Amino acid sequence: MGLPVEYLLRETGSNIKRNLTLSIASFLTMAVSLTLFGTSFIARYAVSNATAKWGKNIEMIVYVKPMDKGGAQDQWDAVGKQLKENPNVKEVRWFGLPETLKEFETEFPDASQTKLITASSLPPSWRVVPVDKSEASIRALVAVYEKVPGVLTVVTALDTVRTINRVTTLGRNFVLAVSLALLVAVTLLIGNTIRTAIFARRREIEVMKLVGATNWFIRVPFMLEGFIQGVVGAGISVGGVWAVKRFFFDKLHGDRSSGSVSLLRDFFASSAQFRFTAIVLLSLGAFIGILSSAVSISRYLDV
Amino acid sequence: MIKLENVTKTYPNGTIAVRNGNADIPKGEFVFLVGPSGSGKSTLMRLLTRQEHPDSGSIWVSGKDIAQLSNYKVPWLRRNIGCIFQDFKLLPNKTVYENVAFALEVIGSPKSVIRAQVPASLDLVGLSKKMQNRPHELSGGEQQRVSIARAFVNRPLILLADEPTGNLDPATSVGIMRLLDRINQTGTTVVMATHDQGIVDTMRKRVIELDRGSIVRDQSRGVYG
Repeated sequence: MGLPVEYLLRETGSNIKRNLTLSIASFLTMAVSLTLFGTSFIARYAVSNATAKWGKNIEMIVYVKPMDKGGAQDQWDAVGKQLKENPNVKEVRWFGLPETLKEFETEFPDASQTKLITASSLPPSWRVVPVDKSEASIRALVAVYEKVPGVLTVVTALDTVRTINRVTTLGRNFVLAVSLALLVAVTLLIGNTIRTAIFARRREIEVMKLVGATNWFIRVPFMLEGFIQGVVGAGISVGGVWAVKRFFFDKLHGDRSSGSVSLLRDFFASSAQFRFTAIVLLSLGAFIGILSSAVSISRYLDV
Repeated sequence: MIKLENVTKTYPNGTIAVRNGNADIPKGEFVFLVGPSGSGKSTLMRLLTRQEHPDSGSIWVSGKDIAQLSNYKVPWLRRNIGCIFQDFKLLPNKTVYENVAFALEVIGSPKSVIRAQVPASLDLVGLSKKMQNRPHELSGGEQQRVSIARAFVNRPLILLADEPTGNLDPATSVGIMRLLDRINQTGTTVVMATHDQGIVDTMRKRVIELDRGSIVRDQSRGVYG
């Protein structure tokens, strides 16, 4: 026996209308908690995107001149030879043109930008693991290699970058903890909303049972109500996370000229990462809505 | 149609509501359940609709032992049993028509069936002209007629009536009894719990008397006591 759609929408709609204040409380709490949860997701992506090139103990990157600025393989190899012979350098890895192009495309996923860029205008690099990781030692290495012919520029993962990493991780964990506490709150809140709806309709439920409505027929409108609260809340939170991405991370990322935020400009999340986050949020909202209403129903609806 | 075999029901507080009950009610019979308050009449009704489980014994309803019925089949049992109550149990925010239609809607009846059956059932109880009224706009007798229309709209095999005239004046009660008698004439088995001596004595139907959970009298064409 199928559930008639018209009946289902009418009953669910009247439940939500009757319970409007509680429903609004549920989906606003859901929206806030999922926005925080999603923001911690985006922040995780931003940190990992910004620090990807600094993994595996690499503390210094020596970019060599790209081909369209007169760079050539023998010149690049000469720089590498010098690095390998330096007693203060523990390890050197070559980051060639294909890898450089790939990294560039990850950082700038927009097609309009990548179309203009070809391998010949990108600088390959030597990734350097120094013996001594202190700031003074790294600065000394930078001073030497900046002047070597064929070198475009030398960048380092100095303490500032590492500190930012640490602080953002701390902040992200705090936001995650707050959002998890709110998610517990919203689960209980939706459960209570459904309980109130069951109480408000106890006469109808009694009649339904008497005339032989199946348990599913009685349950489904309440579960749909929980589902709608979850998804509406999650939908609002997707908007919230989009706003955080658009007006915070994208601003930092897009503002390449500003010196004061130059350290933060690699903090960004791509559209694909945002889409994935949105899907996670919507699924989580739907799951929490259905779960808490199902628990309420089994506890308060003796069907 | 209904057969009780050594049925016993004890509530968790120790009250024995039905004690070793035996009865056989054939199809199309009209039976009064009489006895003082707390004698087990309502429990017997609740056992027949599986709102309560017996501790022991068998309860046969149209050939099936409902004590053994799995929970998910209970709705189908109830679709064969119409119920009416002293307090009517109508939904105040629905019209008369919607109250009766609700019973069909929630068991998934198609719209065409609802459109045909609801007016027919309301016609049977004489309320065709009040279909768009709400329950509070009707008299007590009219409200009970709506609840009878709702109980009968699905053409059940059995009609259980728990003190249906308990809130009504004698003249109105007579009208309700005529209606139940008419429904009984269509072949529906009617079981009615009542305290109304006048009705039982006038109708001269089968009487089953309960006292502290035991069946103390089962008499065809009986009187109240």
